[in-house]
Amino acid sequence: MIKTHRFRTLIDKHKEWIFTYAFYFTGDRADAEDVTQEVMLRLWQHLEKIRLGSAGAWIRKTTRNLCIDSRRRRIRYRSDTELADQIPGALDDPIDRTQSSMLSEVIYSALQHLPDKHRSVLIMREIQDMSYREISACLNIPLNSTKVFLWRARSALRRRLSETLKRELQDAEIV
Amino acid sequence: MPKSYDCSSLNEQLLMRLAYRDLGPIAAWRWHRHIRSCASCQRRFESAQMTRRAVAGLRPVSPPSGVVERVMGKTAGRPRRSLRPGLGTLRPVLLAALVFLVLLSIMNERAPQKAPAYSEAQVQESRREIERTLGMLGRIMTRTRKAVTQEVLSERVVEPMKKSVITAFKTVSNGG
Repeated sequence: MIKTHRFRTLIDKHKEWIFTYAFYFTGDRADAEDVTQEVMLRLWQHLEKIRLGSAGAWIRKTTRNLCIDSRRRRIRYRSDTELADQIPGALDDPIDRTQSSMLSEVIYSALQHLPDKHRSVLIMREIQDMSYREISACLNIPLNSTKVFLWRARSALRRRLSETLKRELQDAEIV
Repeated sequence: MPKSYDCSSLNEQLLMRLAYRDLGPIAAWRWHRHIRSCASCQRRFESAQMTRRAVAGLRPVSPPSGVVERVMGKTAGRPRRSLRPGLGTLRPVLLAALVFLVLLSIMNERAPQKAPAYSEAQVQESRREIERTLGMLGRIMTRTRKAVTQEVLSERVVEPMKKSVITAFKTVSNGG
């Protein structure tokens, strides 16, 4: 009874973090659901061994490891359009597909081309609003490395975005 | 701090820090002054800002409710891993204790046997001496106990009896 209550509390607190991270890391909604479910089941199995204050860290670490496994397992190819279709809210507004949502699509697909650690840092900082200290603890890397990875990830995204926009402009000129 | 605020000094990291408003106010003001006057840097800066806005557009996502319900359903039917609650946490301690005992027994077996420091005759002599001393102590204790008992008896029983007999004798002799 106590175990179930604690489990439910932890799930309610961390489910969004788990799914968001898995969704942006794997780039696939179905994979994100699988990862989320697996993290929760493992949490249930190991709940008695996890200390009261360290459940969050345990969840974040397990999620990250499972996401890496999931990406390694995945062999099927998905085009950028398919990826972009899964962005939450990107296609919610059919009247005006804004510049912002279009950019989000490009960013979302660009995210999938970043190295694992760069992508992790970017997701945690930009989307999940974690502090540098929390990120470095979660990924077990020094604080400075966290900042460096973040700048590299942002620069890579900018370059990819510039290239995409340049390509689109060229295509428009040809047409 | 760059020596000059021109295109060659505005590297990728500085550009992103400027777009994310992570530079000091004076440095930022000087870079903005350069950017306003340089079309190439202006394009780069705009693309950095666009990246920032696009990343900010990515939002956290809630999992479908079915995922949580499925997990709760699965956990409800799952047997506990440990039959005795609480034993799981003690398991490493028990294991460590077991290992310690095994190591201790091995070390005892391997420890070299020391040669006896005294001969058998000396040990027997010491034992007899101890037994004699113990016997003597026992006798002393018995005598002491007897003496104490005698004293207590005399104080608590004999003396009051004497007094009552004397009192009775006096009463009789007075003709009462």
